[in-house]
Amino acid sequence: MSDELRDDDPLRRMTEALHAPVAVRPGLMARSRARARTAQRRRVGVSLAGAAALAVVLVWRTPRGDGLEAVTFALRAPPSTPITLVGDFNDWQTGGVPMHRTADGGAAATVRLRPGRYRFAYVTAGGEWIPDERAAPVTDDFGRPTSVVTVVAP
Amino acid sequence: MRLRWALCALLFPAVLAAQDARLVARLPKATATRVGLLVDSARAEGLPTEPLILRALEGASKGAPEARIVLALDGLRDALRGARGVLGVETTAEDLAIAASALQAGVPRERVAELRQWRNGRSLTAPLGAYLDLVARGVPAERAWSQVSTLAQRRAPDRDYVGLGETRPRTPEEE
Repeated sequence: MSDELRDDDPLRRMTEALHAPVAVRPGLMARSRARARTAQRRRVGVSLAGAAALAVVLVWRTPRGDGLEAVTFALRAPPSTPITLVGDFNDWQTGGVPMHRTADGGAAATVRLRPGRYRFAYVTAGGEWIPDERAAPVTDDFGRPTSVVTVVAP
Repeated sequence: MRLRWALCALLFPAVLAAQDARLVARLPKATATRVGLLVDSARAEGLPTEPLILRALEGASKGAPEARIVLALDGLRDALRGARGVLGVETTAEDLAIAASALQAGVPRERVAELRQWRNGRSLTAPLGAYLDLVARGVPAERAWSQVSTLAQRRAPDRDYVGLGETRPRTPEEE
């Protein structure tokens, strides 16, 4: 019995089809590599943003094309009195940005800022100035605790 | 003498009118006038005035006396001049402000100039901000500069500097 397959043998047709050269669209490999790089960059971006959100005050997100970033300032263990957020972004008006209580007992306020560096602090209804415990402290010319945050475009 | 008073009476409202409305609204009149003159002189030199106005408003909110506000503004104006001396007249107000903060914090002028070269026209806020944050958190200046300059020479995007400010200083055992 011969090992040769007939021309119309299904097994032969299948084998030939598997060995036939595949037509690849130009640039397919380059596009695949670019996609892989983009995915990797996204993963790195997410992990960086996550680290920043945990460690710094801010959780930025949702750029809306106007160059502004939503930045959330938060205190983990605030005093029970009402607190406002003051800083370069609201001309240091102590009644400017009230902070709301969060479910975990903290206080938070979100403002939309352009990328840049901003000095800020929290002020209680009793007039006490509180720095952010996670943001970098800065030298203060006026003897009150002050923090600073840098907002960068994502 | 009468003429001098007449001139003062004539010019004082004009000085107030030229001042930033925020200063007039938030500072005592005499302080607003003094701060306004300082801001005007900075403007005449081509320096950005917004950082000075914001610092004055910060002082007002914190209940600082006039002398302290003026002293702070004097220091900031000098730092802005220094920053412009390092970066040149074509520099953005944002870069002048962050460079002024860096100079006030003791960053050598040569480093600011070096960073500007590496950034090649991009904003200095992210790298200088990260450097200042690192030092403020207790990272030795040389190590902080090493981290920032490595990223800058690599032309890293701004977001790469964000995590740097969170770097925990090494303990002596880790050295």
